Amino acid sequence: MGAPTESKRSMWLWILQRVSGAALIVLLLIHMVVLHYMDPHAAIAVAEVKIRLQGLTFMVINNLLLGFVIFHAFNGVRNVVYDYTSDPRKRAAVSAVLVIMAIFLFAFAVWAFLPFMMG
Amino acid sequence: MLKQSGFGYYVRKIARTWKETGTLAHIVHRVTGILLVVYLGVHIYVVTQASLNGEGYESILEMFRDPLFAAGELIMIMGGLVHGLNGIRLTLFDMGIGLKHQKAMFWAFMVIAVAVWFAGLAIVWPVIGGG
Ligand code: HEM
Repeated sequence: MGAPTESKRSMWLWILQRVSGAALIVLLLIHMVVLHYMDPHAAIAVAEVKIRLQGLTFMVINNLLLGFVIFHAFNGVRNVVYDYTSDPRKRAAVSAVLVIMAIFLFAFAVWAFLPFMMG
Repeated sequence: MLKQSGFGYYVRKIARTWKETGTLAHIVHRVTGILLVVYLGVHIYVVTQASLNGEGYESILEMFRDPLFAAGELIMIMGGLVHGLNGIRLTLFDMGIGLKHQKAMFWAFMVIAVAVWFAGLAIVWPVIGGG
């Protein structure tokens, strides 16, 4: 917590944690309203998801949400771990694992929905 | 001299100050943050099934009709609201806004979280209430 002293990278990550948090407020609001509250009776059918993802607006919104939420979540876990250890080698190892997991998760989700986005 | 960082230091500090609003807010933010990360993993798995395995996805949707799952989702929504609103509070402080009213703002934002949660519940109640 608090302002970073460790390095320039930490400072950027600290700022981006706030920026992604702010972006998530808007993106998650859209996500929840469109999918769950506009028509609460409708279960979210596969066909609907497909049609939505083919429109440019939702394609952009959904991929932005995916990117921001994954960054925010994994950088958040990094912050938690950094609070628990100050050993630079442990920190570097955990960071590397988190970066790989985050990239994998993002790539997996985009790959999974590629057939929908392409129509 | 005691180390000023690391797991032991963190735990001792929490143990000493947990009754303070600021520490409470920190614990709440951390616990909800981690819950949300776990939920995100499950959520991405479930939702990608819509594209990777249509039938599997439909059967998961069926499972989510169970009241236990509905309750779980309502808890996650509360977690998201609490984390998001407290996140706004922290970001405002980082911008120098509201620093004199940190405690009051915590409770005010928690009241907003509960209010928004009930509003959301009112919208979905006809569905999950079996209507
Ligand atoms: C709704 C909008 C959200 C806002 C405004 C927000 C804001 C924030 C902020 C400002 C922090 C930094 C706290 C600090 O360094 O003191 C943070 C930490 C964190 N956030 Fe979020 N967040 C949001 C959504 C999410 C979501 C959806 C997830 C999970 C998928 C998440 C997971 C985390 C985690 C794990 C941390 C680290 C917790 C810690 O350091 O104790 N957040 N959030």
